[in-house]
Amino acid sequence: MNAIELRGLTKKYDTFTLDNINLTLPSGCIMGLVGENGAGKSTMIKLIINMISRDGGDITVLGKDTAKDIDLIKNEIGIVLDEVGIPACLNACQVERIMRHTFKKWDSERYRWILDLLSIDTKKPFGKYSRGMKMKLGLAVAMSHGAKLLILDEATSGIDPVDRDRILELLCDFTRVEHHSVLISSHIVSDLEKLCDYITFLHKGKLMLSEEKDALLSNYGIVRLTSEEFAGVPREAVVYKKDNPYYTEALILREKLSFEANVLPVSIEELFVFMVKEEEKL
Amino acid sequence: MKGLILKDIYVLFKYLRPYMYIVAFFVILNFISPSTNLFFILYPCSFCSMIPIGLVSYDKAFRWDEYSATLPYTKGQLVSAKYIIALSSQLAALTLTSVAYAVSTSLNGFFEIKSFIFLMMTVMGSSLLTSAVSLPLILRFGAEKARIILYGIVGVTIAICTMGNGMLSKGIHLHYREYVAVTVVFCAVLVLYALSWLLSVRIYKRRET
Repeated sequence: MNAIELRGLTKKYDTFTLDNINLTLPSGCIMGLVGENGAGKSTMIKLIINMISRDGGDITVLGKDTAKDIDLIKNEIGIVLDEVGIPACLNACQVERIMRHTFKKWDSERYRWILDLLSIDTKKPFGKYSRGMKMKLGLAVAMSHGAKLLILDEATSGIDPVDRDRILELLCDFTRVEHHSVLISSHIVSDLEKLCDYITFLHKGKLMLSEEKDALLSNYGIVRLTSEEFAGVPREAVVYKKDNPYYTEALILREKLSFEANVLPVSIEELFVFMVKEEEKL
Repeated sequence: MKGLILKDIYVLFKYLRPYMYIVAFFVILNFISPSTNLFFILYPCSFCSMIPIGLVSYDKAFRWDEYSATLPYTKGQLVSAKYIIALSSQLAALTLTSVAYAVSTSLNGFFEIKSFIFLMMTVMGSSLLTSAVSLPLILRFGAEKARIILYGIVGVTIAICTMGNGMLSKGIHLHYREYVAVTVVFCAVLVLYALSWLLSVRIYKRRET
């Protein structure tokens, strides 16, 4: 069973359209959602959890159609949006009392364990927390009710590197349990590169690619060649090129390169930036 | 839904304490007032019908409206929590003020059970009517715009008080037919409250967070 399946997902606004999105997150995997501001990441996440209505397409989460069964599904998924909307006056203990009456499988012990692990002050009211602390409390709630799928929208932003690392470890531990999956969007692409099995690029409401991370990293590479050397590179191998006074830098598809060249590894961030730039040239 | 109500109670006790102080103030006024004044009973109840406006406003400010959409609650439950809070707070205010009124009038020797019930139905009916009208508007247009309703509520309260005080000062001497009419109107308000509840759920289901 797949954790998430989107088929032809479309949402139209006056100035923006999320257009015909097709993707699959197999269960047991972590998928990173990469895109510039306004690319449609949050819209896609809100559509998946039925917070906004779709104009077309099908969404299946944990094998259930979200249009019919979203209220059942929400007990099995943990969601953290870019803002955690807990009232400012509540402390972590009061939040626990509320959530105990909210989720069917609320696990108080696990909640307290995560609060300890992430050094969350349980006495302080939520409004006095830093942004990072707020996100951490949101994560603690999302991970304490036996969720099989976590959906995180910019959940690591505003968190210091040490805590981010703890959270990434926590997410890795979460997916060690069979059939546990994560969909995470973040601007910190290096985190996604560390964490994810699958990478999805969104740009201006369109899906640019959705592939296994290892395949992406092995399929693409960067070459820096003189203009004479670059003339020998087949056009179909070039995804993006940038001319400098001394050399030409290009993102290439390794398998289409017809000669031996020093191909440098590409990071997910570089891959995304190059692909977006190429798209914008067209 | 217990979680939603618990959250509203926490917010109510932290940010909406003035409502409680006002109810307490009017309870004391009902005890010490030498004459009966409908305003002392009606105002705290009508005032409590404004509590959901405050709660919806705080929900928006804290972005709880978005966050709650990620929790396993149906839209019907999210709306129902506000109706339950509105109903309970008005009942609580009515109970406190009416007990104070009953004690005060008994001590002064003019307590009369039929007129007391008539009074309570009038107060609860007009207070519930306020909620029945304001809640769908709040959920449709937001708490900020709904504040305009506040002025309407104050106006209606003053109008009812002016009419009611005239009757109270002369003593309430109603005939059987008039009691029946008041009971029918009160029941109609209860039906309207239920319809308003259903309408609000419908409005909220259409709203995108």
